[in-house]
Amino acid sequence: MELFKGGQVWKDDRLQRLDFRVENGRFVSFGTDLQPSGDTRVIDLEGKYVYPGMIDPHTHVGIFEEMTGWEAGNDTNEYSSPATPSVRAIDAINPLDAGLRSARNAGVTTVCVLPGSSNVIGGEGVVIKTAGKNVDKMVVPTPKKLVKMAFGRNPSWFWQGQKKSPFTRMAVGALLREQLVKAQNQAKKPEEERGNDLETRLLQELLDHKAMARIHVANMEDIETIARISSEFGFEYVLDHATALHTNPEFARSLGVPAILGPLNVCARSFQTYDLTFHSVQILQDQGLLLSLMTDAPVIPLSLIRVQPWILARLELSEAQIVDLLTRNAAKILGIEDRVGSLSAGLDADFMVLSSGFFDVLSVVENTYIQGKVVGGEWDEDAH
Amino acid sequence: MKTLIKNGTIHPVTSPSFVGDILVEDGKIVGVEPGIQVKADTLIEASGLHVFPGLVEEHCHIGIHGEKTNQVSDNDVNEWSDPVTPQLLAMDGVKPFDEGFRYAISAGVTTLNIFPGSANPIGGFGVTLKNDLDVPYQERVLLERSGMKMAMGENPKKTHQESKKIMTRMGTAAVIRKAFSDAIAYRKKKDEKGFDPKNEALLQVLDGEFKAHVHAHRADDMLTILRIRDEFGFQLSFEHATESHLIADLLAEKGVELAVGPMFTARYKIEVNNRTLRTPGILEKAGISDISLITDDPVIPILNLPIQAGLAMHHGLSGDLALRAITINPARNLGLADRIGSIEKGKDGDLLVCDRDVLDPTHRLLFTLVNGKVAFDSSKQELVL
Repeated sequence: MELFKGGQVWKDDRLQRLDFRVENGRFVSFGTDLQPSGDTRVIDLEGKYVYPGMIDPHTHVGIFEEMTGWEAGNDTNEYSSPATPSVRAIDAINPLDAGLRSARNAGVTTVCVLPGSSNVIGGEGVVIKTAGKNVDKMVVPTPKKLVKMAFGRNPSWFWQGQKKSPFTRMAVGALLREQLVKAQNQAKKPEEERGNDLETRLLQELLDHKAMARIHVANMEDIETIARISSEFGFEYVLDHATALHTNPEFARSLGVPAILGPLNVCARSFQTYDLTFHSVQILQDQGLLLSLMTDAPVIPLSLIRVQPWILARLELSEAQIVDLLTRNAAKILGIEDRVGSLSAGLDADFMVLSSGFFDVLSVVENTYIQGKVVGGEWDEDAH
Repeated sequence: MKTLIKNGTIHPVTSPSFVGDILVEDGKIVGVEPGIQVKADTLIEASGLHVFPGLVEEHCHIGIHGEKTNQVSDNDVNEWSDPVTPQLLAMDGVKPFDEGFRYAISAGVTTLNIFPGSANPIGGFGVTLKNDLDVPYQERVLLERSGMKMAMGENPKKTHQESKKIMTRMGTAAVIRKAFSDAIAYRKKKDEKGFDPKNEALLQVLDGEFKAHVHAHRADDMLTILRIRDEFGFQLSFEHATESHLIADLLAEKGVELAVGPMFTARYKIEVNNRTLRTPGILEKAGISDISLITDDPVIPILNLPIQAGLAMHHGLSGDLALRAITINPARNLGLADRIGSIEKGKDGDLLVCDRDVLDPTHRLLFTLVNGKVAFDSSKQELVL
């Protein structure tokens, strides 16, 4: 058992002077002036600031490895077909990826790793902790499986280049419908006739509400197509990137689905990202949407995860709203809020100890903890 | 036309900060002191606020690499037809109405140097613009030729491998040596051969009229170009220099200028594997003060120019040099330190008013002045973020 004493602790949307106990990798209790018992190790956090470990709900770390050049460590997109529902991100994650190391050094404790966006159906994503040598032991189980999909320019542009369908957005929609119908038909067959249904299993689970779609989307016409197909077939989805969603706030509210915005701190270098703006966070927040924020790492490396929140602080958003984007809200969208995402008794003891407040550019991540153990911090040479 | 900023905490960069006033008349700063009493056309009450000189971006591709489109129709950054294109002018490729200039105003950047890309070992002349969106393009130009863009490392090699013009780093070095040797030979026989724009441009570099701004990430690429410089003799500014911390002592001894960054990228190319925000601090400790920081926009958005400086400070750079690295140092690197980069009498009225330190990434920009005119006013416009 450990007792962390004297820190300014981010709890209930504000910093408070609180002590907390950790046992077997979980927070046991929070309170003022807690006293150690027999064999408790006391860690002095006087003058330090404690925040929940950050969660990035949309990354490619581990499968799009840093420091390996353009190709050697890149398993992001399975380019063999525009629909690859049987591939799984977990099969390609290298736990030793430099991107994961710099992530935990920066205070990131949980990431969702998704296949890329070249395929209309890209495969299955997975949520992992950022420390470990064996990916299976890093997994944070989600109540629903995550099906990566992609709409708009990325799939149509890529497959056009291959001279294969889909060339257009129309064909992107058609391909998804076709795949969903195939899954429906497979599900209707009696058990003994199904045989090997690896190709349709994930989509059957999606239609059965045992999985949810995580959909790469930027433009409004694509968001509308997703809404149309979802209402035809009935499945749960999250809008990832959702670059243009704020341009029609009432429509966004009527959809009522969560959105994971970003990366925002990149140049809007294509028509797909024409509407990219930090203001989208505030506009959609005002519509009551459940929002989170991504780095899309390594698009923005996780070592720089705090830069987008800092810029958001220039808008009319509260500190709590901004911190939630990277902690509690991300956990809620992934369905793991009873395991991570806040400093609460019973949750995993994933947190970061900073030398000053979260929004101070000079605040150093002194230590990152996962399940009560130090896994990184800016003392590590790979922290930048 | 008089603009008066009253009671601000003024950060002149080249002298200590103080609380006082700034008077700008006909585009130039005419007074920097407490208690200026004058009837101004525009009055900005700045008590409790911070005033900085307009920021200077030493290396970006705004306007030449179309913001928001990224299509051939709007991308004029690399002239891939030939590895040696010193005769090109970035000025001829810039779209003056590109959205990027508006983003730069919101980022507090009042002067931008725009280079050709890094596909060619010798790429062409950059152009330096005052970011004054109210005047015609020609009037924004501060330097028609700001310096010769050159490039080492992965980019020229990758670009010209297909046409088999360059296959290795040795090949890139050889292409550069040949180009300069040809220029020297051309000078000797100029009367017979007639005017050649390529060789003329290279001679301007060899004669010290323009500096070579060499894209080099890796230390070995930097060492190669130092070797070539010692052979031919030209002035040198390293661009990117993301491994410069590995040879900091040697660079201090050689006395070259460094434009470092961007340091917000993932380590996606092998040549940026050692990029770290610690680089500027390590260089400073080695005694190097000629450091500018660059965003290379659109590699990272220009908004990050001061944020990167703030994070370099987080990783060991002094606050003083962090601010200099985005103001007076890039101004000096471009040869414009007599006009821009600090708040001094006689300099251009390029000023920022912020609610706190510009190096604090949560700061709000309230006003940007370019040549004494209000180019951004947060009470009237929404910040382009």
